[in-house]
Amino acid sequence: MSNGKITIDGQVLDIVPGKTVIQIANDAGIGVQHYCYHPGLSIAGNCRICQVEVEGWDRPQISCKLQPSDGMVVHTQSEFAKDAREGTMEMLLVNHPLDCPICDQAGECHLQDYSYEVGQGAASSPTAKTNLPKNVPFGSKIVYDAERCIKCTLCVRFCEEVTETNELAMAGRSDHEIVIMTSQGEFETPYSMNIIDLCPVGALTSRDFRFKSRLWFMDFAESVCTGCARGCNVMTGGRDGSFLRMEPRENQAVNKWWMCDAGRLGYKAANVASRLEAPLVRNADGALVQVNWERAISAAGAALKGAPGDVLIDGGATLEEMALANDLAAAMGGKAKYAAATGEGDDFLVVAEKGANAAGAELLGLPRAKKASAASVVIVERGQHITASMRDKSGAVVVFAMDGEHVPDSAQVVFPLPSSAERNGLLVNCDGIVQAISSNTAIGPNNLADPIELIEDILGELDDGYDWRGRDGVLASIRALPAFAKVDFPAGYEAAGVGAGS
Amino acid sequence: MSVPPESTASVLPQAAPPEAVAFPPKELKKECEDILSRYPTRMAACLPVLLLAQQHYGGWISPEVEAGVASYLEVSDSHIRGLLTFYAMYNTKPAGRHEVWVCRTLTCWLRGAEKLRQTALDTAGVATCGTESDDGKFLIKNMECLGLCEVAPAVFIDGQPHVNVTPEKLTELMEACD
Ligand code: SF4
Ligand code: SF4
Ligand code: FES
Ligand code: FES
Repeated sequence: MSNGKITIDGQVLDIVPGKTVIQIANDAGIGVQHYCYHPGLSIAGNCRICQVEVEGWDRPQISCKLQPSDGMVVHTQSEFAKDAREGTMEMLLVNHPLDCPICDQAGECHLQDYSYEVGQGAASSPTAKTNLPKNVPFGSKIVYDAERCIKCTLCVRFCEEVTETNELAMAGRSDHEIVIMTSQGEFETPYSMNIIDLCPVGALTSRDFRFKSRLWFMDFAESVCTGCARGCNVMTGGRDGSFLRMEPRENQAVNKWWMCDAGRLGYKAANVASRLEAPLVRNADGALVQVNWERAISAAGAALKGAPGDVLIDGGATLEEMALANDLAAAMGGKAKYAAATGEGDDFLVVAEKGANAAGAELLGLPRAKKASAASVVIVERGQHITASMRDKSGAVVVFAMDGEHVPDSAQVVFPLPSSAERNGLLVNCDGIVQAISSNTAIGPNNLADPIELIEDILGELDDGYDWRGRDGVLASIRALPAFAKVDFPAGYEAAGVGAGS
Repeated sequence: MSVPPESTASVLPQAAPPEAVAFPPKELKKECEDILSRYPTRMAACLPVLLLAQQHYGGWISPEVEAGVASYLEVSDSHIRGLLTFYAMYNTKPAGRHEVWVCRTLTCWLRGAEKLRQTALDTAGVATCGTESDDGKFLIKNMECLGLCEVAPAVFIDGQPHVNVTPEKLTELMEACD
């Protein structure tokens, strides 16, 4: 049965029960400005920027709360609607400090964006702007500026409705209304930093990211957090080799709009001073010295011919890397195994399994290394899965590592490993969902070789008849495995033999 | 580009969370239950219960009372804090034995409210509104329209309205307080 039709900007659209006008418009690709509306939170209807004209009604209506009815005709771009929004902008800016030049939100601020869209809205108030608290710590990770705040209550609703920890409240009213933290010290919720992303303006900033970089100098890439097996979808942001921030990306099947604070701040591993930037080979004096890639590859081949054995791979490595680790082990007559840490989980996103691709390793049939054992090759990413004792006791001669601190003394050849923000590939999360990480070229040392190519090259050293397959070929062989027969691959990876990325 | 490490160790206020009082105390039990019986949900009873609590605990709601009321009404402390700061009639700092509200909205202001406020402050011996006088006798508050514009300027003392108030009359009224 039809629920009736609504016309928005000339498009005739179906009414969907439970959806308000802004949602129906958004679904049809008609963007309506909004501050206080968020699909994951209750509707507050306090900012008034989403006002539209409804034919036959003599007042503008807030589309975020407006229930559609059959035959309703809505205009989002009429003079009447624009006037209403312009008036709202004027009110919102009356007490706003307009300190965009020193505000971290600049460039991704809805207040800025909508100012451009609706026009200037020159202030007609002759009174001075109010002064409100600035630089207020909300826990150790977030800084609040009450003058920039537009009192949309998104942050308060998040702590009330999503985490149910109620650390924040709206205090006071009218031009002296501010957000306050009612508990002392830290947030109780480990998800507090999501309010920074929620805040449509620069009122909540990340102490970690504050004043680090202008957004327009950064590059962004869609990827996945490897902090635990949930695999929250993220956007990585980097500049000149540094990984500067990670923010959640919406995926209703995995993390909705959120991510945990620990995962968000986990990016720092890519910025350590001891990051490896070039291949190293141990010389006659026992020192690791920098060599070119060819020398390192042939040295690795020679070292492995002399000491064949198992391959120990990080639980955060990609499917492609794990599959090749399997081939490499087979070429040496050994087996590949993976290591992954376990820890605390909660009833929201964080899961106890920390290996971001532990499920992928299981699908590939790799056994899980529970304790230290011998291996000729160790591929270690952040060091939490393949622990110091596992690395040291492996006796590995060929080591792939991000961090020089993670290289065991036994290493003869060391390859620098790009971080998960610098590689392409697939991970299988705790629910069996296959997701892609993708490389952000603004992060990490320049010109690091893709471990996939390196492992294939080493395979070529070990086996004269080795047939290079490239990422697509490796993916095709993964797909051909019975365990992957029913597995869905993400966009860009659906067709057999086609791999996105390099 | 290198990223400088940042220390956050010293930025946090460190204070133990308030210990909730057991609410309601015996004396208020019956009245609280009466109030609750008039509302569909416990949350809906916040405002009258807070007023009752304020009267009982010396004219103000301390963080401990706030926490006690919150747990009694099964709402978060944050919700109560929002209400206490939104409505001007609640005090979150110690209040004097006598509360003097001086209207500051347009009509009263045109009719000399400014002078009344100064008189009230001088008589109480405090510098600003919203702070209890040193002797604990008075709390002067600036209020928005008290609904008595036709007989402005208006003042409330301990909940009792006084109209057409002059500075002399206000001094007299305040001096009559014990
Ligand atoms: S801090 Fe940001 S999210 Fe919170 S009320 Fe203010 S503007 Fe809204
Ligand atoms: S829940 Fe797991 S995957 Fe999600 S952000 Fe946290 S650590 Fe990362
Ligand atoms: S988005 Fe509709 S009122 Fe704020
Ligand atoms: S303006 Fe003072 S009572 Fe109305």
